[in-house]
Amino acid sequence: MRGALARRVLTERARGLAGWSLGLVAIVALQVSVYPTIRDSQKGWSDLTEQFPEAFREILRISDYTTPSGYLTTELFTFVLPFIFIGVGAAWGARSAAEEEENGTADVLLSLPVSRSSLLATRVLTTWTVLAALGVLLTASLVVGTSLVDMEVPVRRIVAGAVSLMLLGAVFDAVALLVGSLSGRRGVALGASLGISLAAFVLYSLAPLVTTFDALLPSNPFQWTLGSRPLTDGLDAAYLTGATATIAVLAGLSFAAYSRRDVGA
Amino acid sequence: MPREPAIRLEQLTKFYGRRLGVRDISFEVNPGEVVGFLGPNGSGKTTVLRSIMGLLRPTSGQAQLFGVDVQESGIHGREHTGYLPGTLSLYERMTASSYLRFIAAMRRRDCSRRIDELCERFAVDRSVRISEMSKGNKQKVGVVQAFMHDPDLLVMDEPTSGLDPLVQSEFDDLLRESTARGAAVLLSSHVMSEVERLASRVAIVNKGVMVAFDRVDVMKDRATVTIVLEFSREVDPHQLADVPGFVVTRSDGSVVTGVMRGPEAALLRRALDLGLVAVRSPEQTLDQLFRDLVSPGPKPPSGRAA
Repeated sequence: MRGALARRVLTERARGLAGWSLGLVAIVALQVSVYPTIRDSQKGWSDLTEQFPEAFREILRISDYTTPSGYLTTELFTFVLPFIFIGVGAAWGARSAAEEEENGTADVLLSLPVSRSSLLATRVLTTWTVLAALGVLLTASLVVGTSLVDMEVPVRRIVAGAVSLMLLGAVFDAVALLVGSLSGRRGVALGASLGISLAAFVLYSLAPLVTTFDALLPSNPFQWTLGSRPLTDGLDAAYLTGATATIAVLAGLSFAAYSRRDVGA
Repeated sequence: MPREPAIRLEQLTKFYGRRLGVRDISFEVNPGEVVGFLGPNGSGKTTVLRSIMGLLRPTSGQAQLFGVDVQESGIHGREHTGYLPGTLSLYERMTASSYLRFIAAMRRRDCSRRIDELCERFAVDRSVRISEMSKGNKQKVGVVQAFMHDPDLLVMDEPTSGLDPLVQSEFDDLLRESTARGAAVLLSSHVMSEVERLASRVAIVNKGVMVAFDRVDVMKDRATVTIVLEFSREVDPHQLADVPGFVVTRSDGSVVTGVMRGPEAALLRRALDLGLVAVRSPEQTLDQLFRDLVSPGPKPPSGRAA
């Protein structure tokens, strides 16, 4: 039963997924291929970034732009990659609970001898698998890419970065899952999840400048995942716990809501 | 009946917020019988069927499948149930073949032989993408999906909508074969003739409330029938007034028109004594009863209507 459902969901979205994957590899390839130019004019870049206003450097988390890890953190792990993982997480999460209800296919699906929690669990596991696969793809393309241009980034740091992004995607998957389970509406779930992620991103980015935002950092999903600077410093156990606990709580609430839902009423 | 009912509804009540869906619906469907479920659009038929399938949570009361409250555990009941929703949506990007295989896999059943049979019978081209199918062909896929595991209970929400007459009669046969092997059927419809043709008992809802539940033949007896009597001479309508169940609505010299409830034998005997030459009456159908029960205005007193 699980296999059949996961296979159908994956087949339906194979094309979209291929697009995200290609985009991810292309962005990594592009950014990595530019690095030798940066490295060769290290002095110039250092001077340039040091001339940036302090606020600007802090928002973009520019501290060591010319080192391999610092460069990748600024160029890839600050905005582009996080939002690829968030986009996938939120889109799949929004569909998990709400898609079939909105399409009307839930009527037959839920009339089958399968519990709702089992159906939802399959969809959640499928999303996690997709996020994990993107993480593996990212790790592979970074490992290959950095070695081609002689960027020295330890593989375990690359893995730490990919794990952080997977968790970030999974947090906003869980947000979309909960809103979808409560509302039965895919658009509402997707919008809520992306909206919250953007707000969290703004708070996270401006935290170095605004004391209030800084005080909120311990509850910010971006801090849980990217705040430990995974590419330079690795993962942080406390932050990871925050992320996984949040995912667990949101998923638990989603299951409760979905099991009690009046479908398509 | 020794076996428990396939469906038992106990004062099933559903409010959508403050809006009434249905109130105090109680009836049961036994193995081997077809219960027709009639009501005008928006009367609550679909609400009842969807509560039976566990898609909606009743506000109070309960729906049982094979003796188990579906809110407690619907899985066992659904295992033995085939459901055809009123508004059927299939996975548009699948072919009929992969759709049916998917449903079978979700049921953890090998239904391939039965799928072959049913698709042949209903002339379903399984290689076609569902998005390219006509409404009627999609409905046929829905029918196959509901019957392919030889369920003990079929819950069908207006199953023949969109089917052409030939396919409809094939559907009738399939339904009769199912009841012959002991399956129970709950069939909602607003087509009187369909219910009359297939059902042995019928439940009628109007505005969310049950107005009747009885055997079809009993219902027919309860239906008022317009009868026009022509006599060879002028008659005094009062001479017919004491015939049980007959109410004169119009008297025009030698022609008396009235409505009749129940058997007409007594009326005809009396009329013959008075010089009856001809009697005309529209065909007696459930349709008239249905209209009597759900139309606004004075409702004739009825025996068991709740």
